[in-house]
Amino acid sequence: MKTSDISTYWQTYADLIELWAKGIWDEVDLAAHFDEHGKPEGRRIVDAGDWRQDWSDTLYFSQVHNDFEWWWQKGVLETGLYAALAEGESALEQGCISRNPTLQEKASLSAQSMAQVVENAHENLGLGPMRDIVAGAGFWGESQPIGFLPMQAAVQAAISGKNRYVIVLPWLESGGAELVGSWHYKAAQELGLDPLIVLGDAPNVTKRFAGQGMNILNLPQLYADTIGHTYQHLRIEDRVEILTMALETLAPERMHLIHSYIGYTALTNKDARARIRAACGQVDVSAFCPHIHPNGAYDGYFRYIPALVDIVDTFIFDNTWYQREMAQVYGLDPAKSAALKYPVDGLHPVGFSAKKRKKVLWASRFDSQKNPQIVGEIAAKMPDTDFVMYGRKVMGDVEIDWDTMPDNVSDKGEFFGIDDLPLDESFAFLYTSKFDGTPNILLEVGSRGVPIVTANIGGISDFLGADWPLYVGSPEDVDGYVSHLRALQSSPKTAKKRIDEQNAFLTGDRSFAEFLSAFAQAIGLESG
Amino acid sequence: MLQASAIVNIHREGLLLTPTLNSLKLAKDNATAAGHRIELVIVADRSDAPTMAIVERYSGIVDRVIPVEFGDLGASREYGIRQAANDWVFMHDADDLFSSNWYTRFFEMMAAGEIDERTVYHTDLFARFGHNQDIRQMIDSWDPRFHPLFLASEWYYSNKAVLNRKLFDEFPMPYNDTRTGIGNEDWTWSCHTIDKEVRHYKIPETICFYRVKPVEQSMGLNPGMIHAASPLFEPDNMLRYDIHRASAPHNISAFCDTMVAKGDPVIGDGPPPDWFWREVAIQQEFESLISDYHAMEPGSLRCQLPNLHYNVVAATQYLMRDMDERPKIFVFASMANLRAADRVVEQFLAAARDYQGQSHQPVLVVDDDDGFVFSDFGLMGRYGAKLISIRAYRDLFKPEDWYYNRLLMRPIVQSPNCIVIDLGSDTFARIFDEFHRVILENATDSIAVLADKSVDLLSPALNNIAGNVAFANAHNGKDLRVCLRPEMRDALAGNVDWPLALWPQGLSDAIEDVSRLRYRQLTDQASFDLADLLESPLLDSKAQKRQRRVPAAFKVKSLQKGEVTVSRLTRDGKVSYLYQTSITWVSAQNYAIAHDFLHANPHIWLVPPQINALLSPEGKYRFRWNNYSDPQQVFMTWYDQLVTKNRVPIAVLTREQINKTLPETPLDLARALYVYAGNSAKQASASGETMAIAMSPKMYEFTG
Repeated sequence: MKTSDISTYWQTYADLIELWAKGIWDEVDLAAHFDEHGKPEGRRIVDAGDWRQDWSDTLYFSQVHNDFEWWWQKGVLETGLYAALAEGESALEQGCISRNPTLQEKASLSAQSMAQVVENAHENLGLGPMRDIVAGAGFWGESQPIGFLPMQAAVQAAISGKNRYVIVLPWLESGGAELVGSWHYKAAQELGLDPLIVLGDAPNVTKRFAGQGMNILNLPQLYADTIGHTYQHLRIEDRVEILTMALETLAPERMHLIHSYIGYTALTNKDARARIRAACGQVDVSAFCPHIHPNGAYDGYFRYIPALVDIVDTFIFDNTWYQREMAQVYGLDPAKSAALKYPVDGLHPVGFSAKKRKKVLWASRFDSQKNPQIVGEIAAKMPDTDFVMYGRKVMGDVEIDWDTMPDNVSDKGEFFGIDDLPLDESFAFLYTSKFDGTPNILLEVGSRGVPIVTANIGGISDFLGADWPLYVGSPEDVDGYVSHLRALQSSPKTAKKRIDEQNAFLTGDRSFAEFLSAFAQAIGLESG
Repeated sequence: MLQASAIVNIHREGLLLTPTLNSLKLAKDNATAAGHRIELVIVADRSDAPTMAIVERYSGIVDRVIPVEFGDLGASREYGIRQAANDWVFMHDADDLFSSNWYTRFFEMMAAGEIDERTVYHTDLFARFGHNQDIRQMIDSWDPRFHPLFLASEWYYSNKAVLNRKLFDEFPMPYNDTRTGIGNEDWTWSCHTIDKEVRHYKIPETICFYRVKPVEQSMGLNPGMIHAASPLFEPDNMLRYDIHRASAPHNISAFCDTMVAKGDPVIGDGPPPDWFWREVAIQQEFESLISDYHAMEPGSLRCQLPNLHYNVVAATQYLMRDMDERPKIFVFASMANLRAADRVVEQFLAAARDYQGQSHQPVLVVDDDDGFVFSDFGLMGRYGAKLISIRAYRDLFKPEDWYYNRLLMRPIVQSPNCIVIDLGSDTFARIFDEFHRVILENATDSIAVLADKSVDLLSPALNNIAGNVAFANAHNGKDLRVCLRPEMRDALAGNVDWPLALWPQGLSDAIEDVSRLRYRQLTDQASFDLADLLESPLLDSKAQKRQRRVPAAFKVKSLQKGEVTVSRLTRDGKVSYLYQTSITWVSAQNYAIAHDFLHANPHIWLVPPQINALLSPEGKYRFRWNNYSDPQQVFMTWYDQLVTKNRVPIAVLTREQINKTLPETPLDLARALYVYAGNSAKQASASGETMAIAMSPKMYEFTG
């Protein structure tokens, strides 16, 4: 340090700087002044030990505005340390980073911790947390633990043996995806693949599935039991991670994704998809029909197909119509897709008694897709006939005004399985859906011996053929529905004929044996 | 019969190509039915097999497939255009859809004599679908509401257009260059053409449906790119537009309608017309995502005119005016960050003025919030310098965040072979953050001048420069050289991986004159030769040698596997094991403290840090206090944080090896600690308020 440097002195008065700055006083004058007036007036700093490692002029002058700041800003005074000394020892705190009260408060760090941040900043200039602290951008945070590790351990503990075939479902309630999943489960079991159903979205398992003795890894429930928080409170990406981790742990030969949002999200996530692909020998994905919202927007998991095509081995549809649609819309290679005909669990006719069968049965979701409100229009034209409607709202996209429904229409509420329905009292099953794949309810109703009146939409013709006599012109064809219902009502013979035809369809290519064979072929195995 | 060619540039779109080809097939069928001919040419640039398999399915409508190996959209597009059988060419990307009347409406206008060779025709609407949904109307470049200088801030005209390829003879299609950051080729091309009065117009009632992919799936997203230099922004040309506009009827000449988003009441900025919805009904059969327009809240979907920000015009004029034809020397300074800035800045301007015989024009870009006002007239007189006051830019023109940096970059982009000198300015740090590639690769020299005399950790200039160097180093191209005072050499050289050079003596003397000695006398000796500064040799400081961090009193035996180092620390016969990940920084003295603590407390088996300073996925520091009453909870949380893309520092001293297998990744280590801590006999405790700090792996390396 040059002795002519004004900053080698403690400065008692700012005007001494001015004297020096203007060249009125020189080194000798300063020395003489301090010699005469003693330490209170100032002294030279010659000991390097007086220097503070965590001193900041910037910090000091941003907090202490005085004449010294002006001299410092002008470049005459080289450091604020000396100016602070002039203000007394306590002023030094202002410019020492680790002891500056404002910074400490900003970062909520003690002097001891701040000293470590300072040390880090010295070694990593411009990097480390110091910049964030100054900018006020760094802060404390306590996050709720997610618990990937205990969850991983819980998954390991929950599985026994090797599951060669894993079916990923959102939950096990009463939808078509669950039924499809259960058929895959049964087929895989038959083929000795030790199947496992993994629930990825919600813990719900209805009694129907709970009682089937299936091997289920209920991730949402397992998470709640293990961690003590609900799975739904996790971020989507955390749920994706849990599912991915579970699949890595399971490492099945085949993974089949059916309508799990978390599953589809995982397969479109750059990191997760690579891990799943590496863990699972084969990845199959189901996509059913599009959902068309009342406002006209199309929706559905099929939209993921372009993003998934490079990591999926086989896309599995429940009808050939949709398989063709996807080939047309996306150019999906037929060799990469399969349309399976899902079976019914044998024929269990409820008995045919024209006397007893007086009602028209409608059972589906009370959603726009299923077109429930049209039942009122049909019923109004058949006032002598009772229409019983079973179902519940799922999408909430349509309101049925029961007050304005004809008196011969009754709301019977939710049903949980086909056998909850008054099949033996119904001479016809009315299906009014606007779009669909091959609805399982039709297969089940058919297997119970109730003739089906429907429009030929989506994949229904995969079950009833292209020329089903009870097709109406369109889902909105009220007169068509009425005409077919009247024909069935008035002619038990006709009804019987239709039932026989349905049975023929079901026993023909909707047997479990047929399905098993097709399933095995679709996933690259031979049955039996 | 009228004819045109349609060029579809494909790469690796896979199944997304199908909706596009279905859409174009319909448009082509309609044109054919109307008695016209479209030659559909596919230019396949390094396309993969799945994409080519899709192409094969359309052999009935695709007239030619041209495989190329450019690896560049602009180049392959240009090649396709040259190969086309017709002069009129439609340009398509491989994942967009077009209204079914796109070709027929063009032919109708051509038949009616309404097509002009010096006009580029765009679709009437540009409808984005997929990840974002909105509709933008095309604005006629001759519309009195449109000002060419709007193009400084925003992309108005895509190349999804139809034009006569002769235009490419006059205006070759520019290419993207991701290394230099100069790109946005259609934006640049529209600047070039509009400058030469080529009109960009629309074909009524036509639509381009533009696919917006989620960021994660988007291949083309490349931040920090900017459109190239164009004559459009040359001061003489800018003047010409306004002279022309002054004589035109209905000219809009607002200086700066900064208080409103748009400079003029917008006519026709309303709900989509019926013909839009008719086309949606058609195209949604090809691509269901297009049906999502139906799902938007009533009234929220509008056909918006593009932004008409007249403040952009005025700001661009402000930024570019007074630029002469010489190459530029940009000097960036923040008055608040630089001591004696009032004099130092002028020294740099004087040096810039005198550089190589006044061959360059100085441009001062100054953060002048500190109450200092430069006289632009004075600077021009004294140094021939152009002044860009950031206070004026911000306060007068009120640029919005999304184009604030881009607009400020325009003077640099327009100045090839410029020299950039940063004196630690805030504005430079801001634009460098986004556009460092452009600055580094397009300037002949980029230097940062650190005027600090000592290391002040909170010095804004030091921190700005440190941040800039980190970006420059990550860019791995041209350097941002940091020139510092000789007295700073010891403090920085060997301690940072910056390309360092020392101030020449002339600069030190000149700065001394105008700072410490500034009130002694009036001097005209305070000058330096800029060439000396620019040619100051690099110090040998980049190959930084990290200091051993564990105190020398320890005998250290380390084994590193992947990102984890396990060290056996021995002192006075006492042994401990250190598990540390490569990104973790710990104060050197804490190793000794933890070791002593471990051996003073026999019931303690693990000594981790009390506080973790982790880096969030967004690159922000977060502090976490670790509570070791349940160490498994802590290690479990570290694992969670690592999985969720946080950069978690891990440094734990242990009494024994925690497992037989050496952890390889931070996740392995967190898991091993979690498992080890499952034994309740193995208690954990921090040894005081110790801290572990996560650093970038490129910037910090543990060396045992």
